[in-house]
Amino acid sequence: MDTILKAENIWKTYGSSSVKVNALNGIDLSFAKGRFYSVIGRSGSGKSTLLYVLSGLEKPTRGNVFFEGKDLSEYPDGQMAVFRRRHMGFVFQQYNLMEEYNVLENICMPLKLDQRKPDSGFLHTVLETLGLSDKQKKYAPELSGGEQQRVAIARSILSKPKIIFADEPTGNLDKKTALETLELLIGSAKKFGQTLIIVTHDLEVARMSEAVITLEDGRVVK
Amino acid sequence: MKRLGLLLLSSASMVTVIFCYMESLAPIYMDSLWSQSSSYTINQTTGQNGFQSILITDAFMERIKSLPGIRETVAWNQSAGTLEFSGMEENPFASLLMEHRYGVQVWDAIETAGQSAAPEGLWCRAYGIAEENWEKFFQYADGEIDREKFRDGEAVLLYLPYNTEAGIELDGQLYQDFGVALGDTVTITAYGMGELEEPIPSPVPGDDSLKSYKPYQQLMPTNRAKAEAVGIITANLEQDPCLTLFQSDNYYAVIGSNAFAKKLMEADRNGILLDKEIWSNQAYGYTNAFIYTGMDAGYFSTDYLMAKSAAEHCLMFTNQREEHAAYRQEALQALLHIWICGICMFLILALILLNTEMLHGFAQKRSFALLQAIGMSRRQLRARLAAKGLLMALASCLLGHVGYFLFFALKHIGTYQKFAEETDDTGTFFELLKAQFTGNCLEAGWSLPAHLSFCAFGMACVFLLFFAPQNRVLKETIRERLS
Repeated sequence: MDTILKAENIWKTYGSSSVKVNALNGIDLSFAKGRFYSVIGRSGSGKSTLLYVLSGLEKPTRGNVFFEGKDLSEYPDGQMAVFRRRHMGFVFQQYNLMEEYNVLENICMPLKLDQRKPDSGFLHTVLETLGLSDKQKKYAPELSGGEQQRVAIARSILSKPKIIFADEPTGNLDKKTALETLELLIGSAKKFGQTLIIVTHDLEVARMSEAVITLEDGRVVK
Repeated sequence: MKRLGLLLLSSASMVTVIFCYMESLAPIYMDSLWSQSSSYTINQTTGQNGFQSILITDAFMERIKSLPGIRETVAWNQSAGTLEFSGMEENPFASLLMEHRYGVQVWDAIETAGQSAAPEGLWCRAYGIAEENWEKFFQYADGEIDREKFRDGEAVLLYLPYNTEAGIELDGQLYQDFGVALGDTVTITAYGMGELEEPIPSPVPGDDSLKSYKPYQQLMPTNRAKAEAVGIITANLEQDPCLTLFQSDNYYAVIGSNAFAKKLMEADRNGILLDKEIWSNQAYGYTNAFIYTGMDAGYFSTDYLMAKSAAEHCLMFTNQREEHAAYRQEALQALLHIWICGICMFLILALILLNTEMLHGFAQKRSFALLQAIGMSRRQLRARLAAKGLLMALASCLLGHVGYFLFFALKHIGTYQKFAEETDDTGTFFELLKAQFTGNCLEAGWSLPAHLSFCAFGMACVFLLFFAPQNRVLKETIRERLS
């Protein structure tokens, strides 16, 4: 299977010169194209840190992340921004929508930043799939938590990224909504052939994935 | 609402900057005006009742210059006579003046002296200027001036302050051509008024040359001086605080060197009419002198020494220093108040704006991080912030001008009645504002580059106060801002 993302000896250290905490301790991982991965572990095990490092939102203290064979640490700020808007989608635990924009503008924002127009057919499909067709003109505060997360998912999908990262995307939702949202995310990723990496501490979610990565004290234990 | 509040705060900051500039124009102008106005005026003692005048000598001027705090002196000799130039009869304006016997004060004096025959030519004033003061006049004259000829009295400047596009209206007709042109030869004639009698006791110790006059039965031309007009001054020299030596009814005047003025005073034993009630046949001297002091003059001692020197030479002395210094102090005090008020207001507003923008930036940091997470580069984000900041600065500059105009209008609502009464102005309030703006700002030294500089400063402050706190947020990592 083709490797889309590879992490080599990733270390991430936080803190000042006197107090240092290693969030990640030499992690080596590979992710194949089109597969669904879940990252589990206890609180403070380094799951979210790993996701931020893999997605290039945070730089590792040591080690390298390769996207399709290219080292992300070598990307300057502008190129990294291009990588993020073209090849990567990110779904946060908190919905992180821009309140001054409506649903449609939020969804299309990565494409707008890339000075591209959304494929109207694909946009329609995404909106239909996520049940947002009738909410395009609404603003974030007018939506429920589940709806906001669906908007975030739609935003991460619309630019047809090769890889989607989700940091506990259902953490703030009730169980029923969480399950529906997760099914939508997994279904969308499958439908559009995208690699999905989800950080979760919900074992039910982990069971739905094709591969489970377990972290403990910043190390991969399984 | 939040944006509107920020815009209003920024605009208020701009108002203070514009306020500082516009309101300080008048005090600066007043300070400059009074600093250029003479502190002391010395005049010759007029020869009333037919007695000889006492003129200001070079020795006196030299002594004055050595007094503490004296910055500058301007001395000149002022005499009266008639002016003739070729083609004078054909010039409508000159003909009209001859017909109307312009210079009525002199003819009154002539009649008082028992004269009946009027002299030919146009009444005019002739000035003999000390060499050190020539530059002051040359700057207003058109054409290159041959200094040698000027020094020898062969060349003079013509002062025709109304010979401009606006011209002058006499007898319902507008005149713009006064008849004298550059290069013309002008002739000035001085007149004797009487014969010298025996010396009388002089008020000047050691001087026994002061004499009285026995009036002639008829007006007698005594001296005549010809010179080429090498420059024409059309500016109104009354507007120049250093040169307020011309009366507004003076249509023709000749400005020459000491040598030129001496030619008009070479009156054997005849008394010379210099001006109404001003007589002389003594050695050349100046009729008037302006003495300028700096703000750092040893005032009271200088006042005393000036008065003492003038009294010793029997010259008339006027002290305006105290009055002028008070005007200057008033102007400087007003300036200080304006700037203190403006700077304090600006600093307070800037602090409020800075804090508000910092809070705004703090509130926005999640949004900025999100934009970066979905693909906006730091540079794009900065450019976006800079564009917003620039827009804010431009809008606040515009609103700042509107705000200042409102302040200006409000300020004059209270003075409208008073102004209308004082100036007999029956115009509208808008006309009053226009007049005030013209007088207090445009004519008080307003300049576009200076105005733009102040605007640029204000806009730069507004821009930085908007941009810097928000840009500071971008220094945190995306994750720090998202969490």
